[in-house]
Formats: sequence, structure tokens, C-alpha cells
Amino acid sequence: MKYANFVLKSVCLVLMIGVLWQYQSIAQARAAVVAENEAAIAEMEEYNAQLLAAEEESEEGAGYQDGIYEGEGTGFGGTITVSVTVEDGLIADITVLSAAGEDTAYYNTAQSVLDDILEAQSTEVDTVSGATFTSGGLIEAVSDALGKAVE
Amino acid sequence: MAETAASQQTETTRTKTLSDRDTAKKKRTPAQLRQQNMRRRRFFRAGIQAFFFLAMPGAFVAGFTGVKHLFQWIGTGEVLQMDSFVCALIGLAVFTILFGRWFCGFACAFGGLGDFVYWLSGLVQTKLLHRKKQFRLPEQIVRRGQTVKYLLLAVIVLLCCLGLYDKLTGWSPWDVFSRLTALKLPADGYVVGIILLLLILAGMAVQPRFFCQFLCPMGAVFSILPVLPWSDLERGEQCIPGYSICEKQCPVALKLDGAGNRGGECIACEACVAACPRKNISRWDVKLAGKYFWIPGLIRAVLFFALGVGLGLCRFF
Repeated sequence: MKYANFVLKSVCLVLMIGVLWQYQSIAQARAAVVAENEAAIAEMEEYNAQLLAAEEESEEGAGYQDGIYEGEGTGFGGTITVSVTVEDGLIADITVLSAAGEDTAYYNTAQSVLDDILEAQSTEVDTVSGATFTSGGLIEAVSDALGKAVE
Repeated sequence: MAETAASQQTETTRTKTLSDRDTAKKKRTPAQLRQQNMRRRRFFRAGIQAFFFLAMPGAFVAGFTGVKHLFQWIGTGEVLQMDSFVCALIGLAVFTILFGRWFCGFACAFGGLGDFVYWLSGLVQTKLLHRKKQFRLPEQIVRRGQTVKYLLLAVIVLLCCLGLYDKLTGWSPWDVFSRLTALKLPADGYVVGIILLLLILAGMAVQPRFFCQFLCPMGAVFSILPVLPWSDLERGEQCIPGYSICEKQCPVALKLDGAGNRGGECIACEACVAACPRKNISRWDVKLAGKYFWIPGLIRAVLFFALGVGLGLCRFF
């Protein structure tokens, strides 16, 4: 049969997609349960944090001076410039001013590292796998900016 | 009166130049015409490859990173996501299903590099070393070697699943290559990657498409994809007995025994199309385009460029 090869490979492809689909539905169900648990834990932690905050009312935040700071880092294909906004001693916002040398696909992936930094309030975060150079450059740029925020 | 005479004269000169051109055309034997057609096709393909080398040198890496991400997520039990790399993988896969491995033959930067290195090696061998024929590996070895890439793909997938792949940073010759296309020297710790890239370059000099057919894990993915039957090049029935120029032209050593492209090795480079004196190897759009052989190729190039820009693979946009 002329199309035997095509049919065979199509069946294989459909099987592979089917397996991925099956995996995806199981993984999603699991993720939903994990998210539920995490929400409960977060609620508890928030309560704890409130108690702690009440205790340490007078203490300072992360120790950064308020203001807007610019920093530079070396990414995949050139220099990355960011601007970091510090409010109440915390990292409030990070804006990328220029990243001309980065490939779009990698850059989009690497951007998640900025959320990680905001969440951790620290540049001690992992680089994004698959976009190591670009995310590394972003981390370096934010570190550089925060270096100016510590007086 | 004078006017008509003048116009008559131009008329005669025009017919004269026309007939001159005709005789010039007639002087070419069918074999010479075939050579010319092959040369034009080679130039056309090299042009497209050069364009995509500059515009999208990272396309194949992005697609394969998609494969790695999928299996890394599966290894850690995470939900699969549609990140840029998985989108690139799906885009390349769909394009390959629709048009065959045109991406491999015309748009892949690493494939283009392989063709360039083999051409350069041929130039050195014939012009400097005065060899009559350019060296290439024996067919038997080539066909055996083509299975190695599946093994490599399996190993990489397994490493991703086990979460060990990230420990091999610095091993990938592709990382070194993409670093170089960004006009940067490879980062520290890429010694193994640099050595592997040099070995691959050496291999490219002794066999056309050395990396693509023997080692490319993305090529292995493409090989197992079904290509729409009317997008494959097909060999007709009127072969000249004992004639096998198509086989000699083929960079991936496809067999002439009728099994055709069962293994999915064909990279749609169309070297065989121009070589056959009976125009026995064809595809519906190749037949339709006739002597305007570049039209189907150009349409594919435009479509792929649009796809690449949409997927964020283009350096310019």
C-alpha cells in the first residue's frame, strides 16, 4: 500500500499525543490538589506573619533605601539595563529598560526570573533553564541596581 | 518613409538578436542544461540558507529545547505548559508534516553550516589537493550511522526525565554554536561543547549533512513525523536502467530500491530533481512550477519566515 508508511507514522504520532494528553490531565488534577494545600498553608503563614509583624512592628524591611535605581548586566547578546523601584525598603517593581541583544523567545522565558526576584525580595534566585544567559543577565542587572540602593 | 525604414531595421536587429539567442540556446546539450539547472538550484538553496542563517540561527535549538522542556516537566511531574520553546517545537513539527523536512534542507542554520563546510572541504580537496573526487563516507556506514541519532535522542530524553540534563551544562555543541551566532565567545566551562563542535565540523567536511543524519536529535524527531504523502518527492516509473545519478546526488544516501523515504531521512533538498535526465523525481508543485523551480521554494521560505517571526525566532523582529 502506497500510504502505509504515512498511516503508520500518523498512528504513532497520535499515540504519542494521546499519552501526553493523558499525562497532562493527571498532572493538572495533581496540581489542583497541590494548589489547594498551598493555599491552606499560605493562609496559615499569613496568620503567623501577622503575629510576627505585630511583634516586630518597629523593625525595618529588607534594608534598601527608597528610590528608583538603574543597573546593568551582561545577557546573551549584550547589555541588559533594568530599573528597580524600592518602596518602604522593599523591591516594588522591576522594569527592563533595554535588552536589545536578547532573542525574543529566550527573553520571554527569562522574564519569569523577575517575578521570582520580587517574590523572594532577593536576587538569590535560580536562573531559568533554557534561558540561562538572559535570565542570568537580568539577575546581574537587578543586583547591580540594588547595590546602589544599599547605602 | 524614413521612420518605417528605421522601424524595419530595429525589427530585423531584434529578430537577429532573438535568433542569436536561440542558436546560443541550441548549442547547449541537454546534459549542459541539466548542469545549469542544478547550478541554479544550488545557488537558490544556498541563498535561502544564508538568509535563514542570519535571520533565525536559533530555530532548531529553540525547537529542541521544547522537547527537553516537555520531558523535564514529565520527569518532575509538573503540568505541561505552552512556553515559547514548546510553541517553536509545535510550529516546526506542523511545518514538517505539511511540507516535509524543508526546514532541515533550507532553513536550519546548522544544516546550512554543514552544507557550507562540506562545500568548502570539496573546494580544498579539488583545488588545493588536486583530488578528482571529493571524499565521502561509504554508503553502508552512512545508513548505519543514521540510526545513531535516535539513540542520542533517547539518551537526552531519558536524562531530561531523570532531571540529570541540567548537570551537563557546557556539553552542548549547539550552545557553543548559538553563542557564536550571537558574535560572542562561548562562556567558561564549555570546553566539552567546544571540542564536540570541532569534531562535528571535522565530520561535516567528510560527509554531506554529517550532523543532520547521524547525530541531530531534532532530525530524529522530524524523521518519525508523518509527512503528508503529496509533500514527499516521488520517483516515477521511467528510470534509465543502471542509472543512479539521483542516488549519487543525495546527501542522505536514500536507497533506489523503491522503499523510498520510509525512514524519513529526505531533507527535501531537491538535489535529485534537477539531476535526473528524465525528470523522473517530482512532486505536484514541482511539476506545476516547471522551469520556475524557485517558486515553490520561495513560497515555503515566505511561509516559514512568517511562522518564525510569529514564534519569536527571528533575530530582526
